[in-house]
Order: sequence, then C-alpha cells, then structure tokens
Amino acid sequence: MFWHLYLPIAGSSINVLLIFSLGILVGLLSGIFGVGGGFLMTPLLIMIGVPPTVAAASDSNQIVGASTSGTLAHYRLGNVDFKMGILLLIGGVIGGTVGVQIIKILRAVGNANFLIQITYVLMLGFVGSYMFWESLQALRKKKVAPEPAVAKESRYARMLSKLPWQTNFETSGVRLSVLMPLGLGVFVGILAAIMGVGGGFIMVPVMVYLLRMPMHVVVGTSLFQILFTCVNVTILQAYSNHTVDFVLALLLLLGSTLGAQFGAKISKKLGGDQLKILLASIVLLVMVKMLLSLLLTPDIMVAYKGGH
Amino acid sequence: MLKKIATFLVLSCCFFLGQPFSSATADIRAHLAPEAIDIGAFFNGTKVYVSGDVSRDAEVVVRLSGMVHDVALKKKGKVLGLLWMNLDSITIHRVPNLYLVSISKALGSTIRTEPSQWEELGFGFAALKKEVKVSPAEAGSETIFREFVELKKSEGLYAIETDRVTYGEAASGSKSFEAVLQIPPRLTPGKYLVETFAVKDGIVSAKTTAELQVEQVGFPALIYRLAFEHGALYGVLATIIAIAAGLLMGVIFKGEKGAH
Repeated sequence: MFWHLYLPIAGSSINVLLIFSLGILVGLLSGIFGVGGGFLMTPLLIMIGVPPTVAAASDSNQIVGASTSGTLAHYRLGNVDFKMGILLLIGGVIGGTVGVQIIKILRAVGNANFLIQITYVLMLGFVGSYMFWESLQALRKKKVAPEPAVAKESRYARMLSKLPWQTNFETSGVRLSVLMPLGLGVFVGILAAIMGVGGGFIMVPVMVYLLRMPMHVVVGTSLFQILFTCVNVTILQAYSNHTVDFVLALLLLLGSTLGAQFGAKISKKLGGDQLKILLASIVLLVMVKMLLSLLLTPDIMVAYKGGH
Repeated sequence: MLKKIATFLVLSCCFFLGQPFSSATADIRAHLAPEAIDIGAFFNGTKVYVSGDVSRDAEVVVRLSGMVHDVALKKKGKVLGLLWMNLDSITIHRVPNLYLVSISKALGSTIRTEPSQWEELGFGFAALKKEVKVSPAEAGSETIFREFVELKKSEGLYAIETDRVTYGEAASGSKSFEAVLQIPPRLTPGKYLVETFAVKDGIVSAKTTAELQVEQVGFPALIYRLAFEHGALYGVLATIIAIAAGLLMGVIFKGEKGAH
C-alpha cells in the first residue's frame, strides 16, 4: 500500500514515495546544473494539491538542503569560487530589495503580471536558444574552424579590462573588476525578485557568458549562492506568511540532498559544453511549457489568488 | 397551562440530555459517527456515517458544509486576444470551504430528469449561489461562481454524490437509512455542520443538524502551532535542519569516496 503523511501547513495528505522521488529528481538537476529546481518542483507540487504559496515556500526550504549538499560536493571537486559567489550574493541582496520596490510600482501601474510573464518567456527563449546554439558550435568546433564572434567578444573583453578594481579570481581563473559580479548580482537579484523565481536560470548564463567562468565552477558557485538566497526566503516566508510546510520540505530534502550528491558526480563526468547544451534544452522546455500555458484555453477560468 | 409547561419541560429535557442530533423532529432521527475527526500524521481522508430512521415514504439528503469564508480569486482572460493570463481580482464572499452532499441512487436519477426540482430544495450548487456574493458585482458573477465550483470540485472539496444513501427494510411507517460522507484528505481543522434532511413530495419535511469537530493532533498539531505561534523560530529551525541534512549527506558520501 501507499504510505501517506498529512502536511499540517498545506492542509492535505501526500504520498511519501512520490515526494521522495520528486526530491531525488530535483536534487539531481541542481547538482548537475547548479539551478534550484523551483521551476520544476513548485508546479508539480501545485498539481498534487499543495497550495501555490505553500509549494513555493516549502520548496525554498528544501533547496537549502539540496544546495548545502551540492555545494559541499562541488567544493570537494574544487568547483566553488567563494570570492565570486560572495560578491554576486551581495549584489543579489541589493537587487532583490530594489526588485521588490519595482514590483510595487508595476502593480500600482497595472498589468504587471502580463509584462512579467512575457519578459520571462522571452528571456528564457533568448538565453536558451543562445546557449544551445553556442554550445552546439563549440561541440562541432573540430569541423568548423573559424569563430565569427571573436571580434565582438574581444571588444567586450577590452571594455571589461578598463573597469577599475581589477582582481584575480583564482578558482575561476579569470581577472575581472569587482564591479562586474556586484553589478550583475544586482541585475539578477532584480529580475529574480520581479519574476518570483530563484534566479538560477538567469545566474548560470550570466556567469558563463558575462563573467567568463568555466562551466563546472559556475555550477558549484551558483549552488553556493542559491543556498544563501533560499535560507533568507525560507525564514522570511515562515515568519511573515506561515507558508513553510516543514513535513513537506523534510520529505523533499531527504530525496534532494541524495540527488545533489549524485548530480555533482554526473556534472564532473560531463564536459562543459555538454552541460551547457543540456541546460539550454531544459531552459527551452520550461519556456515552451510557460508559453503553452499562456496560449491554451484553461480548463477552469478562475484560480486562487497568491500563486506566481 | 400546566400541561403546556410540562410538555415544554419534557421537550427541554430531551433537548439537553440527548445529543442535539439524535433528538429532532419526529420525522427523522439520525446519528453521526464519528462525531469528531482527528488529523494525525497519517491522516488520508476518512468516511463519516450518518444512520437513523426516517418515515418510509421520504428520501434522505445529508449535507456537510464547512466554515464560511471569503475567497480571493483571479479571473483568467485573454490579453491581446491571444495570451491567457490571470487578470482581474474577484472575491467570492461567504462560501463554505467544504460542501459535500450525499443522496440515494433513486434521488440521483430523479434530479437528473428534473434538475429544477432539486434546486428548489436548496441542496445544489445553484442554491449555494443564492447565499454567496461576488464582488466586484458587475464581473459576470454567474459564470465566475460556476467556474469557482469547478475549481472546488477538482480539489474534491465540493461534491454531490449519488448512491451514498441506502435504506433498510421499512417497518411500522419508518425505515432505517445509512449515509456515507467521503471526507477528502485536504481537510482544514475547524467546526463542520452535518445536516440530515427528510424530503417528502418535493419539500423538506424534517431536518436534524449536528456538529463535526475536526482538529489536528500529535505531530501535525505541533508543527502547526510552532509555525503560527513562533514563525521566526520555526523558519530558523527549518533551515538549520535542512542545512544539517545537506551536510550529513555530504559526510556520508565523503566516507564512501574515501574507501576507493
């Protein structure tokens, strides 16, 4: 027989095995790609019958466990750039605060949700396609010798080298201005706050393409940063909205901490470009799913207020 | 006069001594089992039985309704004639969080052929609609309410179930009945109202009511109290346990790696 547990905050009961397997799946994804996995978990939980706000908050509780496990595993593989991570994090906190204010203004103006969802779909589409195309080119490099984008890239590199406060980031093997990770942290923080997602999907491409970090270090550093973001979100949600269901989170993190360990090992085995192309495919899938939900006529014409 | 007072006293005694549920109009007697539901760690929905006697030519309708509250909804609509989005906010006032009606197979087929008669009795969703207010008022409230009922039905919280009332052999003008209410796993603690109606010739001829107390016990109750009474502590504990679980898993895996 299936074993059920009652979730006190969600106010419903749930199949333990199902939640455990969901946890493993999402933990694998975060260990491999350095994303939180909220994009997958939150809608799945809502489908099982967990209220949207509880799903999102409990998921961030779970991500704390998964990213601790993943960060540790990647740290042992030498894949976490703490210096870069902390700078991005500081930027992210500033950006998050600014982002919340921007949402308030957008909401007051009206039609904010429309703008947010369209921006999100467009951005996922753009980032996913670019990443997919770029890593496909890289994988075929042996056949296609010339790189057409070199001139443009070097202009970007020249611009980077003119910024003040240049520092070495040893783990990533890059030399950059401190302003770069700080500024990009703010940018991602704003976007994440506005779109109500963790930001892993935006942060990973930003680190790969704008900070020029090697893919493996990106995964570890992203997890390190997600850990702190989700600690913050979990405590805030528990304190102000009472939406963290610890029973649900515990079941999820039993699976996800395990998954994250295996994920880190798989990540190590894959090449950087293979990782990128896989992540790009997932980003594109999420984009298509969101687009479909916007285009298809819903079964029920009303929804509870409070979800994303 | 004396006789009247005596009758009043006897009736009052009946009322106070007996369960309010089992002593009611002479036409129907009903007993609720269980009278309370405890939600423990392994709760996964349950059944509540209402059994008793009713006059032999009547049908029994059992209705369970939950606490009345206001629900905030988002109406879906098309933007630019293409994209479906959550648009206007709507509030539905004074709707029960749970609304379950159990009827017999025979009554089920009657209401399929004559739905209007069913609605006149006041058990269907259209009857519920009359109690409810939708704001803002101009927002096409008929459609909104219908969609809201669909949403609740998809969650198993609103249902009209046929073949859930069965009758025993009729004897001396009355017959026994048993009704089943299937309580979904998604149950909020609180007070619920169970009403049992006798329906004769298209009207409600008798009615009894009882309270069903639902509360969380044991581990769920502990978590719930902690979450709502000590939110900050709860959040901090939840993150610490999550971090500990992550570290523990890391240590376990390191040990395994060392063996290579």
